[in-house]
Amino acid sequence: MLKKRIIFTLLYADGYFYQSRNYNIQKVGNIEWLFKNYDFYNISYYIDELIILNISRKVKENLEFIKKVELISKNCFVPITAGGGIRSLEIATELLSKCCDKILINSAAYEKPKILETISKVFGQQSIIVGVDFKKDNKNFKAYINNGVKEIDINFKDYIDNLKNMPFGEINLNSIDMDGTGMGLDYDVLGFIPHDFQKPIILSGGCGNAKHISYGIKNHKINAVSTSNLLNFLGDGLKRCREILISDKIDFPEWNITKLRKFKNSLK
Amino acid sequence: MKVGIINFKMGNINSVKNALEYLGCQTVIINNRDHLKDEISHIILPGVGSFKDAMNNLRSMLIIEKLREEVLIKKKKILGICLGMQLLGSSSTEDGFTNGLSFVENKVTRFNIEDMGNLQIPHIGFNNIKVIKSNNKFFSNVDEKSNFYFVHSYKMDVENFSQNFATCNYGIDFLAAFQKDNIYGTQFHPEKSQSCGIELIFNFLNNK
Repeated sequence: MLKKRIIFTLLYADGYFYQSRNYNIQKVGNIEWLFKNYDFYNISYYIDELIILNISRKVKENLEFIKKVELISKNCFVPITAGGGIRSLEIATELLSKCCDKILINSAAYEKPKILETISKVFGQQSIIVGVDFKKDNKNFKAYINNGVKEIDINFKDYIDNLKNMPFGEINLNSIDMDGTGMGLDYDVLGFIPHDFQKPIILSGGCGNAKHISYGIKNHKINAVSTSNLLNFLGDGLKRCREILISDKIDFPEWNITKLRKFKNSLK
Repeated sequence: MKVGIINFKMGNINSVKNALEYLGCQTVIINNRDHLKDEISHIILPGVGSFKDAMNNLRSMLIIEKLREEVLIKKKKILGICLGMQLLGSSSTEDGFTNGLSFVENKVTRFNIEDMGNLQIPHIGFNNIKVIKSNNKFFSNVDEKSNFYFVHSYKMDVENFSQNFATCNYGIDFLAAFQKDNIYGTQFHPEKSQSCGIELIFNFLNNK
């Protein structure tokens, strides 16, 4: 049976990794910090997928970003998605041929949706995740682009309906209100997904503990849960998540980290 | 041990290289037939994308005859991954009809929508596999709890295999992996499958 996934999202800008709360970002450390202090690889062995987003508010430096994604992917054996500021086939090609398996497109999916067609023709629909950042205003939902700064002109439900038939593989719904709060995922947004929406749904924003992740994974509408919180799952946080899911009889991959470590340099 | 990775310019070959380097292997990127030297002990044929484009690229690299010699005459070990496994077969119906390398006589066809119920195509994500009559090291330690990362819309039939292969169920049973003499294939991406996948690559390289 096809499994659900725990995704970890790293937020990167101008040489540093960031912690975000309601899209207000705070610098945490550079790549050396990520490897040495944060022990990122240890965390990566307990996830099913990795997303790395370039959230720079400046002109995005793709060359440096690609270098960072390449470094991170060295010892990371899950599918990797890169995103942030992808608006052309050239940048998508650069990323998909050098360092990742999928790309995430957010603002351009609204501003120039033709890009989805252009990229999917070359790399296939499965190579694109469309990101939708949203905020709740009473019972109204609104979608935002440009790092959560600019509200789009289309009604939220219509926007999701429009996306339904576009050429991409998965949708990542990220709650700006819940982002970084650790107070749990926003399930109300799922009410806006049409019944005949055929693409896998990733829900993110708000996971603060293992329970939040396991509730999300158990929701039948959701295929994957993502967290970008660097601090909530320090150490063995994600390991415990997996243990909880497996002890709840959820059919979930069991990664054998001891074995993986044993294989390092075993053929040297 | 030196492992050659065939680069026919489709998709990211770095993830295969990373997995091999993690295991401690030396890797060589094969861009043309002259790169396929005797010192290379194992060959990996990765690949993402269309079968037809891939065969065209291999043809324009002028590498097919050399590859045939290395694999069928010198019996060098080869592992095809994802599209790479499909290319080892005899043909595919992707974009019309294209002949493959025919190292194994299996055909590649698209998932049939009628078999799928409400399952989505492509088949993307981690899935478990079922090993059929294995007596070799390639599938050692693979059990019903092992999960591997799949991403594909086309699949290879299981005909001609009576042992040392694995199936995956997604609407129907299809070929997930096989070993036939020195020829190995995985429809899934072992380099994206955590401990399960790294172990399988280890088994391929270490299987004497």
